Amino acid sequence: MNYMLLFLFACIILGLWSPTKAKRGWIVAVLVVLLVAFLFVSPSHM
Amino acid sequence: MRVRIVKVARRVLMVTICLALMFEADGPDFDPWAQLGWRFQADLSGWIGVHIIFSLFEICLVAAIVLWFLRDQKAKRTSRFQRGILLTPVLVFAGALAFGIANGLFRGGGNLTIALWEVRGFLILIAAYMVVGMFIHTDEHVNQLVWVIFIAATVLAGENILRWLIFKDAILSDDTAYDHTDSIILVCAMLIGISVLTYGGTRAQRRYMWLLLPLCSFCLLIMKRRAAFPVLAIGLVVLVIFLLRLRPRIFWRVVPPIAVVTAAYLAIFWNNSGTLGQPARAISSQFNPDPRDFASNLYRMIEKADILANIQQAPITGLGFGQQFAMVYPLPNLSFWPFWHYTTHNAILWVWMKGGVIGFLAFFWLLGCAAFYGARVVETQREEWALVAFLRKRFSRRGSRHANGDARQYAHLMLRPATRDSKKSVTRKRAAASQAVGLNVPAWERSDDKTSATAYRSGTLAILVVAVCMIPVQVMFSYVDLGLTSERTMLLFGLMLGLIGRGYMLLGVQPAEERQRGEWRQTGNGTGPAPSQAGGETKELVRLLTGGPTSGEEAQPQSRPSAGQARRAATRQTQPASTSSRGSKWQSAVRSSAESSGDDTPTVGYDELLPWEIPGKTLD
Repeated sequence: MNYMLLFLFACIILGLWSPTKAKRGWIVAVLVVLLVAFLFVSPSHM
Repeated sequence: MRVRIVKVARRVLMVTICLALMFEADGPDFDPWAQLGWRFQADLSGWIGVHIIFSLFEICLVAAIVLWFLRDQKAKRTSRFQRGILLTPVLVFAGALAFGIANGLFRGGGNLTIALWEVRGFLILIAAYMVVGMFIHTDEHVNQLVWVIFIAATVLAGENILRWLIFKDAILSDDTAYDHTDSIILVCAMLIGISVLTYGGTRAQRRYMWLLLPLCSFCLLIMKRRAAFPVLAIGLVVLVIFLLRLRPRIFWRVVPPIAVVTAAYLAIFWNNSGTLGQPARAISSQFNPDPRDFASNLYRMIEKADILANIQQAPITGLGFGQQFAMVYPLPNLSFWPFWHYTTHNAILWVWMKGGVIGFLAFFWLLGCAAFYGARVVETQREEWALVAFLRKRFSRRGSRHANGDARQYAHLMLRPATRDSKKSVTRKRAAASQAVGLNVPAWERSDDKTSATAYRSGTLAILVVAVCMIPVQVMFSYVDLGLTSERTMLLFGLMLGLIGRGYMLLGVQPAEERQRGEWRQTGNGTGPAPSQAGGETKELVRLLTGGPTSGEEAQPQSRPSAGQARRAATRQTQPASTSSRGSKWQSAVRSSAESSGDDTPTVGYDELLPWEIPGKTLD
């Protein structure tokens, strides 16, 4: 659960502090894939 | 007649939401009020003897949607469906659910009825996201929703307290005396209350908080549900992050003392098992659980081991909805619960177990997008206020070294809060159309005594902040307490996602990339700019005033226009704005206001122009 919360906090902080005019939506997709890949190879961290 | 049908449908929706949140779906038998709630949320076939697989709650929700579709052409123009920025993730998630159901059926041994029961909460979530786009378009609608949540939480908390007082002898254990999902509804109401006090709301909302906050807090204490306090804590952490970004001075004034008090409380009540020690117990039981907490922890540990074993069987596609999961490690007997073999308390990993990686990816993509775009939506307000703060300081009488007298008067007209005394005979719409000269006032500086497009109070920003807070709250709650299968929590969560999806529209701003293209948003109800929409036009007016690039042109960050550019810009200023109809409207509004004040329309020609990148200042 910690990693899932970490992912959500990362998304919130990214949204609050990323530059105004930059499009950063794609980073969310990358973070999701990283999260799921990490949990996939390391199920004990689920 | 049919024009009013949307209003009727909206009222049906609000009443439905209120009843769904205030009534427990699975209350104890000895409480007649809980029985009333069960009748509202259980299938009709369970208590009227006719085989109807829908509940009153679902029928009311569908009725509101059907009424919306029956609106006439005139209503269709003013009450259009707003797709929202989360529509794609929501539809992808719906597709993943459909795949999970099909997978469960074709795998063999699947049960379609059980599968539909399993995903019922998710279907409510999707429906709730859609109804926000149908019915909630303005601040007024958002305020209605805020009040609906407040009333529901008040009744729920009051009823639980009465149950604790009246049926004390009948309560065998705290776990079964109250619905699991009560915690999350009360926590949401508390977060909205704190947010309304922090980020602004109507005067009535702010006053009501002083009743609701203690009531909900006391209710959480007597319910003794461990999950309630960690989820409240995680929601407060997110709220504090927003506070740091939007109101840093308040953050440094409030958060450190509260942190010290919290640390002292934990030290004193660490081993206390009484009512006041319940919040501390939620944390201490993780390290040193009492027998009751140990049994609860053990159940969840065994269940998690079972989930992991089932995920390993089909990690990509999952078991599919409607399939039983294998209890590799036997669980304590909960056979009285019909979904004992289908649904787990850990609803987050249950999504992976049933929907596979596909479902889990789609689900977390939806959550991640909601968290990111929700934060972006709120961040737009800080940007607008930072701009106004900069201009106020720049054009203040003492601080404007470089601006000439005319420009100073002009800026003063622009930047004063656009307010007028509220009178019953003057509707807010008229005020918004004719009096909105001043630009954007932060939500917490607004007043109920004034009506204008930029100074009207509402809880929109407050509930948007809470909508983002509810994402980690929902994940944390669902990880331990069946959060994704309850229709009540999914209704609430779907509404929050729906608000985030329409956040730009509700706050009256646009994403930065659209602002750069100069595509001005059309308001959903066609009655003029939303209350804080003027802030989005601040930059346009600054450009017009100072001769900078118009909205149709590319802004040049950190570049200082040459003298020739400034002359051309000043010439452009004297001509009607052709790039944006709203720009000309604002020009005329400023000009008419200046004329009414006895001033001539000033000549724009600063010897020093504003930088286009506004430094990060706030209006605290």
